[in-house]
Amino acid sequence: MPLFYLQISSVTHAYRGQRLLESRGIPAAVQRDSRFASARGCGYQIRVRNQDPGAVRSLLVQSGIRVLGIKDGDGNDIL
Amino acid sequence: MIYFDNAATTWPKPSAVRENAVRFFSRYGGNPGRSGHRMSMDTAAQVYHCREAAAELFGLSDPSRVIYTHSCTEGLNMILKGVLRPGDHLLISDLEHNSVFRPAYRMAQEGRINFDIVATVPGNDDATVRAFADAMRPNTRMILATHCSNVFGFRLPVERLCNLAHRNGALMAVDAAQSAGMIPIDCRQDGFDYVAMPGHKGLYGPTGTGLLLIGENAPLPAPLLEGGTGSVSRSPVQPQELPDLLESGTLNTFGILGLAGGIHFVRRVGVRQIARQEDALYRKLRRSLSGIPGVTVIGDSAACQNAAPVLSFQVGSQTGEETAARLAEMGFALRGGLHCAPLAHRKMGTLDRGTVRAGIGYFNTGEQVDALAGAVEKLARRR
Repeated sequence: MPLFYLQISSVTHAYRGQRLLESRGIPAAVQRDSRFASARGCGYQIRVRNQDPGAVRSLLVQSGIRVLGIKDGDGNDIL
Repeated sequence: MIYFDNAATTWPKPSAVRENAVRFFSRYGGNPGRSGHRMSMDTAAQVYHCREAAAELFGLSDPSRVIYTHSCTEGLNMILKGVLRPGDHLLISDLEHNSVFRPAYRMAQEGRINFDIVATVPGNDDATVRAFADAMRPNTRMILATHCSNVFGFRLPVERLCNLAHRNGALMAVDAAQSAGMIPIDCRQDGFDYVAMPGHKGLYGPTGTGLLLIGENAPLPAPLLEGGTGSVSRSPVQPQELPDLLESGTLNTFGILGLAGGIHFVRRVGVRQIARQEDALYRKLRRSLSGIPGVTVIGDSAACQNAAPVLSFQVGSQTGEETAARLAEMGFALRGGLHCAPLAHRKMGTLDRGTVRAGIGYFNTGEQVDALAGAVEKLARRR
């Protein structure tokens, strides 16, 4: 998947997820979830490129980071 | 002024604290976790890095279990009022600060909990653990004990009390006001459920900062404050995830930036090295003051064997406040009185006159200790 966004409830867990992914050699960036968060109101996302979304989500979930959803660049649900 | 009031707040602060804190005004002034613009995101990253550094220092694998508070007192209130339920029984030690005693007292007065004050035996860990064991009841939900007395430095066997609590199905909470950054604490290894600490004492951060550490198997406290967290805002219910559950309202970013500098300093020097250095000065001061006629150092050598670098003494018949005031006139900063710990003073028979307290920090020197001992000797001769 060229580019996808993992939706995370809080900025702390978003940075925690970023650090975890980068420790595994997966470049990741944290940003405000400005497009998709309106259903919940306020949230952050981790932006990842060229990785398997399912595998990335598993990494995060195994470390206790709740992933609320995964979207592609057009806002479509991936998983 | 020669500063020996490090048990109240450490001074001076390492340069990294000042350098980090002032970046609030140049780079990190955004509200962390609230917005998406660059400054807010960069500030949030700094806040996270500090959380991560604290988790590493205190043996927590999950930085979200590091909660920012405004003081150790706030953390202790969060533990007591957020965890204990109606009908619970609490055990505290007879060395506790008012930040434990007062909330426990009020909760008991209101009929919400029962609590007992356990008589510790400083210097005899077996006897202290036995005393707690004897006081346990079937409904004892928590032991809350200070790691080290804020008045006398006496160290309690909190690791063994934690084992006792867990064997009896209770929780263990530690007041690390006088130990965090000065004595190694490892939440994972020691199994503590909750550890409250100030950011401005042994962690060398600015005042107005504190941390509450929540052990990996501990029940989450109910929040004392609810409100904005920057997360799941449409929900009327407070987020149940840490740290947002316990961090409503805008964080003290300026303080946290400074605290990050302090934690960096502590990790760079090393807690064990800080402890070695402070302990050497503590022993030197204790030896010096103990040899001055008319000066009473509180606590025998057994009680002070593994003490925090906090030493209380009395000069002649003076009150602690009088001695502190006279030392201040001579250029020394110490704290006199009851140190917000009437239980500890009652235990040691110093409640009426109080004591004057010397708290040693990393930046004190042997020459300063000699100077203080000299000043106390002059005071003792004058009386």
